[in-house]
Amino acid sequence: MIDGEFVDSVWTDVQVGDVLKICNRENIPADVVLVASHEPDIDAPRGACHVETMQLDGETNLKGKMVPSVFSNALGASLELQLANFAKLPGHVEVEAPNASTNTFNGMLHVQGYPPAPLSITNVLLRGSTLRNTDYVLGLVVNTGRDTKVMQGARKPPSKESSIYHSIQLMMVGIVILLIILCLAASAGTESAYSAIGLDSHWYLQDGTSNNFFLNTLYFFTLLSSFVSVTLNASIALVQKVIAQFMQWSLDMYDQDSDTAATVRTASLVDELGIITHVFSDKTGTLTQNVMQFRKASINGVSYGRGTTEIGLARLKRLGELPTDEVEALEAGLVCKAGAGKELVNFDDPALDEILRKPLQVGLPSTQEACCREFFLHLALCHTVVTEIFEGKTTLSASSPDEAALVSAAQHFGFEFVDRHHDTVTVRDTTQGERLLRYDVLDVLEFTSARRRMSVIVRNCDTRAISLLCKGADSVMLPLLAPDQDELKLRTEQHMIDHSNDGLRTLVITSKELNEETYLAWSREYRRATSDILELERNAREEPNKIDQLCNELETRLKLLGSTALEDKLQVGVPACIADLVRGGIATWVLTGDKEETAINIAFACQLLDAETDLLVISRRNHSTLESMRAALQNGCQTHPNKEGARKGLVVDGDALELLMKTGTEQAGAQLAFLHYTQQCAAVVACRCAPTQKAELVKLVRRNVRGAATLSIGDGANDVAMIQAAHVGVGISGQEGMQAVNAADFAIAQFRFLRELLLVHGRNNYRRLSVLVYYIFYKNVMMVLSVYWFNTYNAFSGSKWNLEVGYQLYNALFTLFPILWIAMTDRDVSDENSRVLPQLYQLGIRRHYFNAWAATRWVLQGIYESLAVSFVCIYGLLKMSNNGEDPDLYLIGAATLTLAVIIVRVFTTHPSPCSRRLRACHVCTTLRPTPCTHSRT
Amino acid sequence: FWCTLQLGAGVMVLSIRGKKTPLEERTNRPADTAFKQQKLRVWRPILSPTAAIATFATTGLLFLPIGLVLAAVTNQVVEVESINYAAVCTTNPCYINLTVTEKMVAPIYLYYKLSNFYQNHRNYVRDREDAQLAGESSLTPSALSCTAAKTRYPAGSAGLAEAGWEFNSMQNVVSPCGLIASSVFNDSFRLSTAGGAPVPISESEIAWETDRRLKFQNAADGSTGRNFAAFNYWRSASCDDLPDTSLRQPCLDAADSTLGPVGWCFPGSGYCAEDEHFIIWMRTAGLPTFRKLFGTIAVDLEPGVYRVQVSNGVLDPNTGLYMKQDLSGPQEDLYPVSVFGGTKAVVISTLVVGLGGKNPFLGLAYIALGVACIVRNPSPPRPPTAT
Repeated sequence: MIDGEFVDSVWTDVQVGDVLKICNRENIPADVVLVASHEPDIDAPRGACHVETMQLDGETNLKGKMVPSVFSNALGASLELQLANFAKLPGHVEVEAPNASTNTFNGMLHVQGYPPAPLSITNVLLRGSTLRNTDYVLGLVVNTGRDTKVMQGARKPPSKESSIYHSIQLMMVGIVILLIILCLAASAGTESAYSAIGLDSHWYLQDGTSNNFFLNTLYFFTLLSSFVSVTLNASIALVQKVIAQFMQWSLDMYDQDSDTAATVRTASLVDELGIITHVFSDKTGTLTQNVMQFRKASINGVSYGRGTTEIGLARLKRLGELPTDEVEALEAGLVCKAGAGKELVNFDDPALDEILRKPLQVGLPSTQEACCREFFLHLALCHTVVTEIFEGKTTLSASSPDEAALVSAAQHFGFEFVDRHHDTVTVRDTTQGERLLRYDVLDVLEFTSARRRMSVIVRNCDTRAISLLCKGADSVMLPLLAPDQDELKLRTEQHMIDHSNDGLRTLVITSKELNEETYLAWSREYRRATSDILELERNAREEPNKIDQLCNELETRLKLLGSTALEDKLQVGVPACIADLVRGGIATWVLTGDKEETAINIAFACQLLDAETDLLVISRRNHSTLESMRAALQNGCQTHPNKEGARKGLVVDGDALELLMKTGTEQAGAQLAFLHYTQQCAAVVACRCAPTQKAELVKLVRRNVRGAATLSIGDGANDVAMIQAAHVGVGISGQEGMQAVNAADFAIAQFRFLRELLLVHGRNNYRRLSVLVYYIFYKNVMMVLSVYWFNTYNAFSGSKWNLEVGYQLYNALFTLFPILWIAMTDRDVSDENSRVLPQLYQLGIRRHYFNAWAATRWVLQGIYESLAVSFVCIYGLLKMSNNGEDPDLYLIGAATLTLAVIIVRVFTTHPSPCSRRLRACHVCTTLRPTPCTHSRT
Repeated sequence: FWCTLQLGAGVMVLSIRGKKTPLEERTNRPADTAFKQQKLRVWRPILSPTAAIATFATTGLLFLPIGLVLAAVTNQVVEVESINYAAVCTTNPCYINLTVTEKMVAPIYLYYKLSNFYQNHRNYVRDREDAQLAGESSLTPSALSCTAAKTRYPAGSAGLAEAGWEFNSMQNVVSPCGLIASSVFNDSFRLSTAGGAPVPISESEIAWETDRRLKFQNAADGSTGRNFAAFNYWRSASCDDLPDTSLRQPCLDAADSTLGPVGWCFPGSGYCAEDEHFIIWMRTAGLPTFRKLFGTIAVDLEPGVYRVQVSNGVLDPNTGLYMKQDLSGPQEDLYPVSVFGGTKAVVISTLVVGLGGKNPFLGLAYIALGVACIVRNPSPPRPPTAT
């Protein structure tokens, strides 16, 4: 706003003190203090707005923000009034120094004529969030650019280098030590030559120079300096660049839906992809499409909904209960139906449609029909969804994708949620003709992770009947059911098990009629409890409190209507990809901002966890102290899974992590127990994680697990810290937001390309680079040493037997290009075999190709070959020069060089000095397709 | 295996779904070429047991006969080596015997063999000036890369002042310079039968043709042989005494040099830097024990004892004595090697065309490799044990 007029402005021009008008679905360009918001009801201004903070912390639900009461009282409800009044209010704002905490904000609002009012995070919209469900807000800019919280949280990208570089440095040290030893030995040799051979008496050698141990050592140093090839670093960089280009060209990592090919942003890490031990994955947008689909339902003991899911299919295959052709038929059906894409309802069962849409008949509807109607009416009423008018269209804005799916399902079956106005919910019933049903929502008993259910109490505006509608997780809902419906309960339970096996998320749908008196009595108590600050605080801390107690009182003796089954749409190919990563020996961690249940469900859906997994849950709720956490973890380490082949799994929540991650001696013990346990786990799920906690976890593993090579994959701004903290960061591109990609070293369009990236490209790259490095060392060691051995024949005088030009060309021309080409393109097994045998990847994790022993082996190979070449040339050429003379110096030299070039180049076709172990390993992995346990501590 | 493969195919089918970018808009799609997709034709040799066994067997069966033939051929070389004459010779000339036990068929090669002589020592190898040897003119001492024996007189010496020379002048230069040239081996050999009948030794065309033609030339400015003891006789000899009469005129043309009489050290003479014994010496041997060619014998040698006359210095035709190079007095010693524990010997040998002298290495190497291939032939693999 400039001089009372709003002008369009780009975010770079926004300055502290500006007043911004931000419209619905716009990104917040700076940290702003709310001044006013659109008031849908002029008479009852509430000063509220919603934001979505997915780019900030990965949480997808809408968060409420409040205009400070000073403003909401003083400014009025319409835009004109708000602007006019605001202009009349002199005052200033005191705010904290810029910091990275997205959950806190401290400030003080000083407005003339009002007492100073504190500002908290609920009054502030942070840059990176998106305004939702609110037509507009007015905001006062308090932080811009680098001072905003999201930018404070984004650290400068650390410069990353491949671990191969680190190993090279170690190898260099080893080589230099060997070099020094050889030089000293040669100098000592010179000394002994003077005494043993008596070089002083060799009159033809006396040129006036004197023998000097130090100078001799230096001379040998220059002679042998080619040990460390000058071309090494340049060769590595060149090969990495070319490999990176090949990766970007790969059609196997090209996503045609989004028209995105893989991008390599840090070419120097292409080989690091071959030794990854831990994959840290974000959930939303990475593993899942963040779309929930209504797939199946069980109503009054009848299951509706046909077809199966990818997960169900995988399970069928695993169990092998169905003949192959049937599985294939199902698979084909899945592909056809996949066209449903991002619809919220993906339901295929004409039976249900028939029941609901059959023409109105005389007489009472059948029981089943009544149940179905009640079921979907329940779905249309029992939720906290609000309508949002955006670009002229009414859309539903749900705090979770589950609710959006359920409400959409109700609409699909003829019970359309129209509006929520003044606590009155309007539902349009289109099953038989069209009529509007109105319900007053009397109370909403909200969902908490402790209760794991939610209820609404509604009054039918026509019949004035009050009913409690309750939905929740089966584990908590089933005990609350009224007796005398055992048969129904059994059938529904069976259906829910079937649905769960398909990887669907089930909810139990129940209802209960309330009579007026009971409700009023309960309501009085409830009002009193919810206005008691003490009880509210207890409730917030999840301690026993009156509010929960009252809710529990009401939610009993429920009537079972049925259950729903939602599919949390995974990204394509995720379970198969993860299964392959597990077989490749890579531990997969899911780090998400979502709540525990969602995270666990996804882990199941991705086949990270299965029914046989020995799951340990560490949360603040069940382990309030560090000591109990440590004990539980240590206990977990010692117990063995009760079933053969069962794996261990860990679920940990953000609060527990916060306690765990603090530095301190006490924490160190618990951290150690945590790491010990996680190393035994096939899967670790961390939920309710803040972005910084994700990064902390990555760092914890990176620092403390020996040989760990970590990879973080994510798509949002909230994954940036994690991506930067890991050895290798991978961003999902082609979706919304580029922050993750910009911070990442590699960008791929789909999670499933991770398989291609690691198992095929990573494996090859690591092997290629290892061979390149060793080969360059090897060929130089061989060349240089062959000259060295010659010195045993010339009184260690430091003579060379070839001309300098041959020496240099050997390095740069004769032997370099073949190995470069091989390092760019070689593969030991076909790409197809790399994919179907992920076990091959374990060679990288075990550092099969690049380790101290391999290095020694290559150097020994060089030494052995140099000895062979030298002595063959020395003895093989005797009397074989022109006219039967003994060969002259340069003839031997030329022969040695030629032989060395031939041997070194032939060797490129068979580059591993010890193939026997590799072969054994291949056989082992071929015969044993079960995943090798990942047990390093 | 096939199940997994099909699963892979299934995943690929599944991927073609969802919101699609129309084909014509897919601008980021990498080109599907064999190169970019790394689908170029490859040769992937599989070391199957059959292939490995066949390869080894073929190699072995091929190498063994080759080795046997080579060994047999090399074995036919007749080689006779004298005793270390440095230990027995006290006079100049000196006579030693060579006992030929088998008939030697021409061409026969006569070598001298030195041991414990470090021609490959760094100080020695580098101490030469190729430009000077190739006959480049006006190379003053400062232009030479030699370390030793570069000037007649060191800087500031009395001799320099006496002669009235600049230190860095062509008068003061030593040509050829350096340790290799100054230590040139200068014993020479005459062969005769026990009865005293001389066996002719040809001493021409024994050095490398390229060396003779390109690398060793007497300098046009007459500097070759200047201040160099080993060429003294040739440098001061008269053109009229040249055996090849056609060279007398060029000799006379070159005789007038500012650097004093050139003698036979003119370009194209075949003496001094163009002397083939000198050229052979300048090609430094690779090992401390080496033999170098002295001459070739064009007649067959029947079994029997032959006498070798070893001499050093210039034969004075009038007195029959071997004189020092400057003819200032009789040359008493042969080439000195005993002072540093070296040995000298004379060797005569026949050669195998293309293979050189008596070195069984190649034949033995082929035999060893052939045997190794056959003996170490991989056995067929065990059947995999059931797990």
